[in-house]
Amino acid sequence: MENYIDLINAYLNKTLSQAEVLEFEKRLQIDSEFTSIYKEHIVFLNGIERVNIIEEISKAKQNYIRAKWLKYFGITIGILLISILAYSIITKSKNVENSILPANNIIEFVSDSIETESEDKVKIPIDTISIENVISKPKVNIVSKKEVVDTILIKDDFESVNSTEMDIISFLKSVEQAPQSISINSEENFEMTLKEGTKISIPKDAFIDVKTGKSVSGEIDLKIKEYYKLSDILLANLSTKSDDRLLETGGMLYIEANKNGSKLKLKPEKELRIVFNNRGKENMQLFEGEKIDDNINWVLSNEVETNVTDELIGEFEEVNPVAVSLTEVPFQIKDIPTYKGCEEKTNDCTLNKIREHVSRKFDTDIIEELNISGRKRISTIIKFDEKGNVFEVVTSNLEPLLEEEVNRVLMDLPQMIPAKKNGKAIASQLLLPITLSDGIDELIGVKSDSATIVLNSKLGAVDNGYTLNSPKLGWINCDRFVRSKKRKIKYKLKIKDAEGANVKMIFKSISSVLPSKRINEDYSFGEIPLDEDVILLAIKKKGEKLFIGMKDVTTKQISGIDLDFKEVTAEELKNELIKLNKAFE
Amino acid sequence: MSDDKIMGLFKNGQRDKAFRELYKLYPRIEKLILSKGGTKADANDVFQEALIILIRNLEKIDFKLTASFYTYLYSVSRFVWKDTQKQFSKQELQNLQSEDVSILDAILEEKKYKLAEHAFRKLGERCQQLLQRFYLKKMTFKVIAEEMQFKSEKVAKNQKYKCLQKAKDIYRNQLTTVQS
Repeated sequence: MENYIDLINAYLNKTLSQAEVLEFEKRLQIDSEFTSIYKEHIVFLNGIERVNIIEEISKAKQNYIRAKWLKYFGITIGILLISILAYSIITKSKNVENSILPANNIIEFVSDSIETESEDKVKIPIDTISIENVISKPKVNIVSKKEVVDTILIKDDFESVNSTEMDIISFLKSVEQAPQSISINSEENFEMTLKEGTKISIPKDAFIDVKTGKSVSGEIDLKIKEYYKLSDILLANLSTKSDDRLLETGGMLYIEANKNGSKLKLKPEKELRIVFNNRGKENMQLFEGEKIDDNINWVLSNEVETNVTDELIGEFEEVNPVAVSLTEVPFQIKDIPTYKGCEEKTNDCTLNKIREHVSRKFDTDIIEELNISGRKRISTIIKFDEKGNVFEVVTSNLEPLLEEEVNRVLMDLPQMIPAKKNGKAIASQLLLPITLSDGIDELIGVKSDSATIVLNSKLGAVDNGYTLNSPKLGWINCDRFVRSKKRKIKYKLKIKDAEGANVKMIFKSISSVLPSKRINEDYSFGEIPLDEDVILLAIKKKGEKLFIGMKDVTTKQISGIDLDFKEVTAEELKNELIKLNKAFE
Repeated sequence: MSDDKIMGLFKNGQRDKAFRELYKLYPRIEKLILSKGGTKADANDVFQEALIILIRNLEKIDFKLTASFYTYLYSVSRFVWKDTQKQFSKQELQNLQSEDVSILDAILEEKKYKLAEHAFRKLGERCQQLLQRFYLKKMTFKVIAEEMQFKSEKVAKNQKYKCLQKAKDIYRNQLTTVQS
């Protein structure tokens, strides 16, 4: 027996010769008593090992608990320090109440800290946006009866912030484009192309009265404004911002429907189909506008999925993209982007690999950090180029932290074998829903569900502009988020003589307009990418006199600027703005 | 910390750091066990078991973590708890998926090791030290004899054999009581 144990130890420690190993293994197969001794010994060794592992684990646990307490402790100390600091600052400033010097010091200190903070941010000077020529020249192509009514101003419920600024806004509205008025028969499907090329289809019986909730029939009046041109956007006091994020616009619309003066809205299940006149722009999504303090904020309307599918409406043809559900497998494996190593396997292989990648790379701490409870399903689109590399990830409205993580994880996917069409490598998109779970009801932290592959035989151009379905009237915008990897800075500055002016920033490389907020003496634009070529534009009104000031600048930290305001007539102002249109073309 | 980073810690031999990271998942496992009617102490035991199974698997060459650490620990914990509660129905066992089967196998295997551990802990202090030095620290009998002040290598070796046999006897006794 003792000899057996020695032999087994020698075998496990790999000190036996090759011949002895063979003999040993052969014996395991034929000698059942020997085998059971061997097995028991293994169990035993593992049992002894457990003692060790348990010790390690309990050490780790203690460390974990200690770290947790230290964190709280740290926060408490932090709070204490802050209160001490606050206290001493208060007492100090009391001591030197009338001296200005210390106050200045404090301000300098604050701005310094902002600078260092932004320096810590990622410095990858690659811009992911492909900068294209954005808006194609509108074709004047009016199909249906339309009459331009010159007088009516759309009654938006504006609330005043600042009376002089209000002056400007109401002035702008008075020179703004007049809506295109169209009467249609609500009992028939209706389709038309607007002045600047937007196509709208309205299904029949789509409207109900806002107040009564009753279905309407017969003639109804539509009022529509199109905003493709920068001057139109500026005159309407529009901007392209979704919360704090910059949007690039592919056209905006304002649609209103009336019947005998009472406002109408769409029935819940009805949608407008809108084809924006914006060839060549990718990844546009539908945003709905809400006016807050006179500035418009755009909110992503649908989930990404819907938009993409809409984008893909079309025949099953060479140039048109095709959506393929991976579970249905109508394609040969070589036709979709394929994970390396999955060449000879089923489509599930690629999908599983991607899932595996996601669950392995995803930092699940975020689920806890964001307090996600139950399940959260997020939609993502992974875009592969012709070489099979991920070049962009699109996500629906996510918390910045979550979006960053999803982007990081998906951008990190290895190069795929590109999708093919007729033997030629093509770009493709993968629609990948990911489910996050807090783990209470389900096994899983991160799960990627069934995915859909979308094949684009031609990347970039969407032939007929964007088709988006809108369930709402009002402000509609075909936009995409600007995903710049440029460093961002908090941009604010003083503008000479800008009392009561409406100040906007126009981005030259992307079709984007940013409003400013006046904070004390400064005009603040929030966080914007550094080193962008922009135009600062200010319009103000003094009494009956109009002034315009503008300057081309590159965004970097500056304290003040003189826009050289000059007096203009209403007509001159309009012309100045029209001159700017080329910035968006 | 992402799973890859934790995996890196394991690979670099920074097991203490890796375990500490994984302990961050404990509150969620605790929630699970509490929701299934267990106590905090149960949750602690279950999580420890899950960690042991994980680390053992990580050391196997052919093992590949297909899910996240959290998912894996969660599944293992759930199974460990079910097993201690003897809640597996026949049908459930038949319908297990291959990944679950391997988890269950690991759990059953680990139960045997746990018995062996208990047997080991019942040995005297000196026996425990001797076996640990020989099997875990891979010391030679010569060194062991010196450190533990045995008269000779031979005495140490004999002593080790006796300790081992004693532990195995205890183990076998436990096994029969468990099985009967």
